[in-house]
Amino acid sequence: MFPTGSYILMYTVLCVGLTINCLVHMVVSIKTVATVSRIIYKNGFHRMLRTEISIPQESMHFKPSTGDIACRVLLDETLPSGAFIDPYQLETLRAFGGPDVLCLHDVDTEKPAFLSQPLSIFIFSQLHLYKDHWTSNITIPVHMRYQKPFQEQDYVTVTFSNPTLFLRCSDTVYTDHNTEIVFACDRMNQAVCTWSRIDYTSARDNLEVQVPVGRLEHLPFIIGATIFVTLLGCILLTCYVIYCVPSERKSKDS
Amino acid sequence: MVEFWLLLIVSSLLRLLLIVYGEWQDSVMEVKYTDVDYFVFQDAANLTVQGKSPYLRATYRYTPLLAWMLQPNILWNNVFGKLLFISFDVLTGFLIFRLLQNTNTVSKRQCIAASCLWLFNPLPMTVSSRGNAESIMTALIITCLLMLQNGRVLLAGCIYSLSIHFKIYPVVYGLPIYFYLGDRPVIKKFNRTSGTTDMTDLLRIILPNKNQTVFVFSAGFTLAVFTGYYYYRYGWDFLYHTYLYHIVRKDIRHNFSVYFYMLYLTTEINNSIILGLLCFLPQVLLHVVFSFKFYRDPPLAFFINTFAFVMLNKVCTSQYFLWYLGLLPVIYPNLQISFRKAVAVIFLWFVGQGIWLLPAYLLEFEGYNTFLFIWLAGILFFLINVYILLTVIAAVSHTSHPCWSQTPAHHDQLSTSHSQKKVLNKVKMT
Repeated sequence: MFPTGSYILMYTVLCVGLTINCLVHMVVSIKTVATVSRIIYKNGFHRMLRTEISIPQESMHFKPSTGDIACRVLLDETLPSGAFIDPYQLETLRAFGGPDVLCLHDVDTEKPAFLSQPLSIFIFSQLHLYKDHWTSNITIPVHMRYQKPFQEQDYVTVTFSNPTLFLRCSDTVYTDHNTEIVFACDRMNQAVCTWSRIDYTSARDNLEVQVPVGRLEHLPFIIGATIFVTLLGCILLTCYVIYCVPSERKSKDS
Repeated sequence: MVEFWLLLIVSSLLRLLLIVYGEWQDSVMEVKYTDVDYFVFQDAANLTVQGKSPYLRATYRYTPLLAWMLQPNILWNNVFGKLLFISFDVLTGFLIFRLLQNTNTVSKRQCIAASCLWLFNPLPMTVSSRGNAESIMTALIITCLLMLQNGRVLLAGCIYSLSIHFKIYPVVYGLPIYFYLGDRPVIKKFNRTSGTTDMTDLLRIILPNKNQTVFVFSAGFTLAVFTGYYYYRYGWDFLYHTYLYHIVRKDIRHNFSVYFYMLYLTTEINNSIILGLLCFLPQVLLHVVFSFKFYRDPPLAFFINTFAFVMLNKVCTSQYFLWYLGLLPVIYPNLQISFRKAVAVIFLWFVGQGIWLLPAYLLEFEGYNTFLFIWLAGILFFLINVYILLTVIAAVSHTSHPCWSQTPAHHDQLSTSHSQKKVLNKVKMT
């Protein structure tokens, strides 16, 4: 009896466990239908941040009695203090199909990271139907700031965290939205719209960029050698001018 | 011989052609031909048209006068600024010709050749047609030299302070101009063998005479009028962005300066004031020595002072090289240098930059940690610059613009003031 009973018990536990597991899975897959994948490409201090948003078509439902779907996404992005965007560069790129970016703060493009604050930017983009997904690809040029020099370290890591994603459709209802916010409709920031925040899954929670930094252990040598060379150069020039250049020019005497 | 005016027309046409090309490239390519600063000027001009402060545009760090000058960009066509800049550019070529023409040892052929060195130099041609305002500076500075040459001290003062108002760096011309104006017709030897004459000479050029007073007051007055008026209109923003920013500027990002890596590494250390002073000292030393030694030949003094200033500056980008390149055609006919050596020196100058550019590129665009190599390249470029300066000094030490070093007619106008004569007599007696 004992073995049979325990088998039944185990079987029941297993079944219940599986069911719960399945249920949880279903809930998760319904909750997080949108996916975002991001990469940073190019090297050095001038990078490109590419964000691909994909929302399955079946999660969009037509409102009754409307025609085409017109949806826009809004990315609420906070750039780390080690990076910045150049609003004027983006303005120029717009003429060639560049992204719509709204930045409510002045951007100092010259300051180093340790004197800068994280920068809040808002990116607007239209969704396009590709196969059975509504997608959008956004590429923005980001620039890295100079970092504080470090001891025994060639690089420091700058971390880009994922943005918050909002959706706004003129004539559709997205099945899953939690919070609504009122924010600018577009880059021009002249009218406000209601945006629905949507959850998404992403392969990575953040992106990391390695930025080269000066090495503090070089400091004593660099100071010594720089001051030595410059002073030497100046003394050489001064001596040459004072002792080797005749004051009276020949042309004047003649 | 080719007529000079024909060269002016051809060089203007070439620049116009570059503007047309630039318009085309801007409309079809993402990489613009037009200089980034040109858009800054234009945005600032737009703000002044609307009656707002040009300093509302980030990174506008110039005099409001420039934004005002470019108002037709907004009201008429955005190519106006470029046309203005190439006009100043060609004017610079013309002024170089005029300046050299007045020096009687330089043949007309040499004048034209020197002028062509500017008029057909691809560097100023592209710089001005891309919409960089640097040609205004070269035109102002050479006009100032021309005024000095003609003995028109009052005008020279006005033009000189206008150039400072545009960009700070012509302050390094103040001392040589002042000494030059203090010089007497009878130029005595200034060397280590005659102690007492040293003193008299020193006093003679330091104590203000009529011309020096006129110069200082006209320059001071012009600068005060511009500064006062714009301060009244735009307040602290104007003072900060036009003058102070350029003085306190602390940019730790990689540049040609020999001090770059040192200043970057010490950026967070408190006692970097001492270091700042240590960087400033050589600049001051060379400035005083060169001004004192070469003031009799202002174009040469201007060139050498600018060169030393740029080479020892805490920040140095390729734009700074234009500051002395504009003066090169003016001193070129008087350089006693073989063609081979001239080519070798210019080649070295480019090599120095090339060697710097490689690690700088690897850092900026590839993300390699090449700071140490950039520093080494900076040191090498500094040494090359020292060598160039030594070569130039050696090449001019046997010759000079006769018009500047001989006793020119206008020097007769420079009368010693009564009080100064007294002091000089006293010194002679002791």
